[in-house]
Amino acid sequence: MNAEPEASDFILTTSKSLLPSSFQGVSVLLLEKLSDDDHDMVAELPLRVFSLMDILNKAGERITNDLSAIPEVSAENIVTASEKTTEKISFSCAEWLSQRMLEKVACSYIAKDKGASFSFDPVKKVFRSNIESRDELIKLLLMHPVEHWDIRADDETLEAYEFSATGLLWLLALKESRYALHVWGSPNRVYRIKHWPQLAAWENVPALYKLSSLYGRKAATIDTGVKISGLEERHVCAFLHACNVVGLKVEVCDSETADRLQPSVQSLNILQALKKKLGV
Amino acid sequence: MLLKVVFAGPMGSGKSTAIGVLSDIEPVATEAKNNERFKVDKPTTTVGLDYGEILLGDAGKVALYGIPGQERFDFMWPIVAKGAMGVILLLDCSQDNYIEKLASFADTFSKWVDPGSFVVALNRGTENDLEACNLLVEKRDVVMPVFMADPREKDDLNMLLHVLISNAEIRLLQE
Amino acid sequence: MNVMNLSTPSGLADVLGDKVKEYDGLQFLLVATADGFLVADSGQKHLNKEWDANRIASMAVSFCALSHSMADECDLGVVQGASVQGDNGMMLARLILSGEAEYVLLASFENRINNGLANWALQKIFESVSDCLKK
Repeated sequence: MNAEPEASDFILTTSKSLLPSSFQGVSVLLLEKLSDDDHDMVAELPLRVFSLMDILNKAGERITNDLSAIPEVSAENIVTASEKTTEKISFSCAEWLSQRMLEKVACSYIAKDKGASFSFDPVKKVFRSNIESRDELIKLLLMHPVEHWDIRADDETLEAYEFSATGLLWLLALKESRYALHVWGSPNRVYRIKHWPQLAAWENVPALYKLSSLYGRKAATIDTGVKISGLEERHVCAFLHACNVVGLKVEVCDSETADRLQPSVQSLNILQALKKKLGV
Repeated sequence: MLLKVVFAGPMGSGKSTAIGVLSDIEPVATEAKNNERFKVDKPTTTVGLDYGEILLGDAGKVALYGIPGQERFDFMWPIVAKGAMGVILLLDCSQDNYIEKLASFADTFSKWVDPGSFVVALNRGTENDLEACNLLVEKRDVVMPVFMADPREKDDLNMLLHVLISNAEIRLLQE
Repeated sequence: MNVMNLSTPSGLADVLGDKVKEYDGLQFLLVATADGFLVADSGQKHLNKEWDANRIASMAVSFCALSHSMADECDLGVVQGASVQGDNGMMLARLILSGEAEYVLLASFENRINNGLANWALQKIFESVSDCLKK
């Protein structure tokens, strides 16, 4: 089979044998069983319409990637513009703070410039800060390395504003998507979460419900998470990173169970209608 | 098309209230005078079932069922749970034995619905209650969503339904 | 299963036992509170399988409550009772209002007893049980 779109943007070729390396375009090798051969893409027989649609989508993505014009997945409520410029790839502030919390030692920190300060109470599981907005505090924590914060000698509680520790760590970790991609973004690894996050209290984003359902129900790869949620890979990784940071226990499993890709339209319709009614 | 959601939980956990809050129709109730006011101080209790509906126009409707929570009515539970998209287990953390109730309801209802379609909602709970429930769920080697929720609050109930929808969407991919 | 200790009106179990002996084809009788607790029963001899009077009492109450809701939904007016018909017999349930308390009376008849006879017997039993509950 040879599919050529009208505008000849790309050529997708499906074949039963490998094409010569000189072939220009995307090739899909049709197999009875999956193999590890090095070729563009493989498809199990019988090739069904939805599998073909998936292949076409993947091919489209790859061609777009080649053109260096990757579209941003809409997830502005998870990632902020400042994150893109400030986040460190090799350090996780959320993990650092989570570790301090686990050690169960109350501690106060003050910024080197003496402006911002925060403390945490591992017993009450709260953060206190002189910064009123939780988002502002998260932004500051993301911007500065550990060295920026001095341990404050006095144990006076100066901070006026209080935030739930798990909620703050969760949001902080969600914004560390580059770090998360670095740590969690292995294509072959399969993950499962042992507990559900408190989404309503922490971050009420519909895509995160889907990810919680997916990784709660079964062990799945990051790629499956991307397909199910419509989020970018790094945000799926950030979700797992956030689950790990707040102690929801992320397991690395052996294998992923196969799914069909298209549920019945009727079933989906009523779920969509219910979501609309609930204002999701 | 009809979806079915079941509200389970012990007497006084807020099942009838939740159905009343969510239902677009006047709920059907089967209330009788409560002789166990020493346990839960309320004048009446459900003895058959509660029923309400969320209307979705052409797409269909969601039938909301509430079970009678006392164990002596357990014969009603499989009847009501049959074919349910999910079960929302309401627990009042101010009741002494709510952890035992979670274990017992989870045991019973897992015969009819899979753990992912079983959402636990803790009313009047603290983070410690949440942790205790999560620990219990983990010991049973299942992943069961556990949330704080007030059955009088529509937003809380919507969130629980949202969890069931997400689970149903993922389950549809696996069936 | 039922752990609540309800004070059984004196003589009610005897009344139920006597009625089972008195009416031909009557298999058993029981009385339950409206929220599903067994108050008294006649015992039974005809069932081969284990008989749990507590469980049947709760079922009878749910059954009556659902019948009441159905009647309400279909505008049938005030519900006095409900019936179940099977190949081997028939059960009739009857609501009893005694002061502020509500009860359910359940009677089970063999299949050779026709509807008219069963309802007539139930009415007589209902009167006796009501009198006993009022004491």
